[in-house]
Amino acid sequence: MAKRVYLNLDLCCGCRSCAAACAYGHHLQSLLGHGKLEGAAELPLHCLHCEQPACAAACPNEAMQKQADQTVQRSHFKCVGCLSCTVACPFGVIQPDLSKHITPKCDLCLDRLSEGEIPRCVAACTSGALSFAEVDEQVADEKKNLASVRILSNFIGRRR
Amino acid sequence: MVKTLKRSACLFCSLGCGLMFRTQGAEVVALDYDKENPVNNGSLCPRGHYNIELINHPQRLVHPQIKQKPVSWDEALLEVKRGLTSGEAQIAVSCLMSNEDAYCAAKLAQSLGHKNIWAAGAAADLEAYQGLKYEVPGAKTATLEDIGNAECLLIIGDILTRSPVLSKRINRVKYGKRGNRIIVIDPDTTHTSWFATEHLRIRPGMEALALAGLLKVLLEDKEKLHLSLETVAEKVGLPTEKLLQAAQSFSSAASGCIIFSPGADKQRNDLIQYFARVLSTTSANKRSITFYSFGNCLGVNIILDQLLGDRSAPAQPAGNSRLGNAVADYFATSADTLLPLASHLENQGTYMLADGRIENLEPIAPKVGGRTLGEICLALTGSQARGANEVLEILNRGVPQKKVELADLLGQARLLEPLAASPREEITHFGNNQLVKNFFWYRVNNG
Repeated sequence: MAKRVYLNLDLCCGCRSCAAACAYGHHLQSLLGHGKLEGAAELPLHCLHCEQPACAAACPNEAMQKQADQTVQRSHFKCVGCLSCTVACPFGVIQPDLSKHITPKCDLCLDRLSEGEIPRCVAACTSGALSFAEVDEQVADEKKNLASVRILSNFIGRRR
Repeated sequence: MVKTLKRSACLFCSLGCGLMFRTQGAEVVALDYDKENPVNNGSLCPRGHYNIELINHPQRLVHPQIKQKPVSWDEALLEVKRGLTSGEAQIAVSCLMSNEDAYCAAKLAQSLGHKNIWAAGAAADLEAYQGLKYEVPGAKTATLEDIGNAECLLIIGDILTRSPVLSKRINRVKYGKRGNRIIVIDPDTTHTSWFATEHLRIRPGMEALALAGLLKVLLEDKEKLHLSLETVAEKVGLPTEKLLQAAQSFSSAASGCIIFSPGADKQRNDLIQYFARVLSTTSANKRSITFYSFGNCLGVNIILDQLLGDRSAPAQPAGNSRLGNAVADYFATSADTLLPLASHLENQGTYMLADGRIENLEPIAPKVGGRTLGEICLALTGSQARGANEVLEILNRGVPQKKVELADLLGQARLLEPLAASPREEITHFGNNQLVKNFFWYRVNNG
């Protein structure tokens, strides 16, 4: 299984240095969104690189595609900026850039991964909330999961 | 071309995180993270990412200017010298300058024969520095390890807005051991107060009086303080039990640390600084530390105070790096004479950070055209000595101390009145985007 960025909401202090690091690494275009949960917490919204990506299924021009290394990558040349992926994404992590007519999307800092480094957001995280590890390890660590999931599910419950 | 990594440090707050730059030949290409640095272990706050713009921003000031017209360095320096010797000149040294630069600026003021020289920075920081001058026998400055290893943290103000990198250490206290306490004194819900186990929501601007209340509880047996806990509690806007409980959990912890971040939303930062240091001496194993919003706030202030002695306060606080009507700065401002300034990334120098450690930074890039404040001051005085050897000796002398009476300052704190509550600003420059509206449950329920 591939490595993914994982958020432990209990540790996050909401400084947004992950967003700043993302912007400085991607030509001042932050690929990382930030959501605010009614003043209770702020959280970075990472692309999960799904097994069956809805964004790739919705894309009319095959710009979004699942790669051999299990990441979902967007082709800059094929993208026409129709925003289908923004609507299709069930986690709301693809943030449209309306001025440039494109939908920038997390590429897991491919340039750094090829050098054996971790993605920029994880490296810059001030509180240790973001980690980059195997998905199986992350999910198995129940201690890590519980509180964050509780906060999120409370929020979803309130909305309903 | 081979890419190499060069180490430097960020001076945008007095924590002094390490960071690295990827360089290609003489050119700085990108920012990188310094994982081996014990201060921040590779993490960096949003403000820290701006360091790279000090080097390669297209609008960096390169040539000296007089009234928006580019001139040569000799002409500009002559103009500055004329202004300095003509009449009542004031010199302000920015708290981002290195200790050597501050030393040269102090020597310039000495050669001009006056003492009108100030450290310029956030007004609240300079006020908090004044509080360091009040003598507190036995008070110690905490190191960064002390913060992570403490069992009780008393945090005054929103420290995570200024130095988010501390959150790793605060998390270590919060999730480290059962029974660890984090007491936050702040009128608002902030990023810091999310981590609080006890959040003392006082009225705005009453931090000094709240600390005086804690002192009253802890010093009751030893000294007679003319301060009633009930009136303090009423004025601060907290129940008496909450103050008692906070004082109890602070003094009973095996080790503790008081973290103070001075700010314009607080009143009498010098009193807060003083009370925090007194509070750290009331029980065993307690220390205090203050984080300023400019990197070398301590170093510049100590050098100016030690070299020039007692000076009366300026009538009008000067702005950042202002030399009369001449300004040395990184970017163009509206001053009459503009001198391009070399940043700490292009200049060798030592810097004194919040915990008293001294960082020696090497230049990572050639100067784009600016000169350091030290070089400008040396050109104005006509001397050669940069005083690198003497600087360390001056810093070792520390902050000049003066005797004060605790009762006097408690009396001053008692006179404080609450400020009007102010709406808090968003902390970073990315704005509060409405991305959460793309969440599927939001779309389902709100159309």
